[in-house]
Amino acid sequence: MSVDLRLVAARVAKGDAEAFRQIVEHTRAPLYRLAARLIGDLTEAEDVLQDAYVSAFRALEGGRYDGRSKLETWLYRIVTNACVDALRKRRTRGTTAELKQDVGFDGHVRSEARVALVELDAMLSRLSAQERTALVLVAVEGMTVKAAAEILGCTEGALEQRLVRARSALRATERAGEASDG
Amino acid sequence: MAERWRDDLDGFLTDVREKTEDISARPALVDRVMAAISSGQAEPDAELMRLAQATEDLAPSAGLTDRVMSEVRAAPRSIAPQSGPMSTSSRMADNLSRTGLKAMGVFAAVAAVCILFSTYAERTLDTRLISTIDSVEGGE
Repeated sequence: MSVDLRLVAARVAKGDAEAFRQIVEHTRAPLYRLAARLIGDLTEAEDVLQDAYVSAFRALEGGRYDGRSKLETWLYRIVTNACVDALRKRRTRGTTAELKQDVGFDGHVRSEARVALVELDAMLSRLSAQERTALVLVAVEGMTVKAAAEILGCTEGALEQRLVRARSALRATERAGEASDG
Repeated sequence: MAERWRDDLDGFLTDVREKTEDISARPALVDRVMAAISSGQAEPDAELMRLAQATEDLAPSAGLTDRVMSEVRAAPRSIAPQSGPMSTSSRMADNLSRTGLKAMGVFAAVAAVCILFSTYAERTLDTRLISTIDSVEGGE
């Protein structure tokens, strides 16, 4: 059954905090997948998603969702921004993929998915947060350039440029790896 | 002599042109060119698609919704302009505006003290001047 989340959001804005549960239940799976793919760490992704939901709730009850975009798109934007902030903080802290452990994560995730997530994180580790986000939204999440640009709040041209830079950096890394192997 | 040599050369070139008129690229060339153009994009994207499929069934832990709802219930009802999702830049702007407001408060307090002090100093000076003038006039 499809639910019009804009109507649910309107209830939250009127003070029905419990209605927010419906929004979380309907969006948690794709948003968690997005956060995990962007951050590359299951536990950190869940922490970031939790904070992003609380921020979204405060924005809803404060009347800061104007309903112009779909609620799902608006939430994607909030989660993406939170992940970009987390990636930048991680870069400052210098945390590496090898040091991460999913301590505290009690979700059920196949081991293949965990391995793939580590691979993805390692593959994207040399990209800037902006390039990484653009590539994940388009090439991993399968969004159109237009939809991804709307989420990131940039023009389609700017997003295309980020994608070109990201793919070029990935190819350069791959070739460097092949050269050192050969 | 030179003229004859030129005629021979022109004839040879004309002959070559006619014989090579039918040469054309194989139809597969277009496909190869297009493949070469898109391969730059396809290389990393193919790997990313594989990783996307492998991470398709990622799901958060069961307790996530309850944790979010308990935080939501605990959070005091916010005032619109001060709440909501903020990026780092908007948080910085928010902090700057708060700092600015504090600075304005301190500035206003300092200004009030200055005004009071100057009023007090002016009165004191007036009183002293008057008493000095009185004493000078009294001496005369």
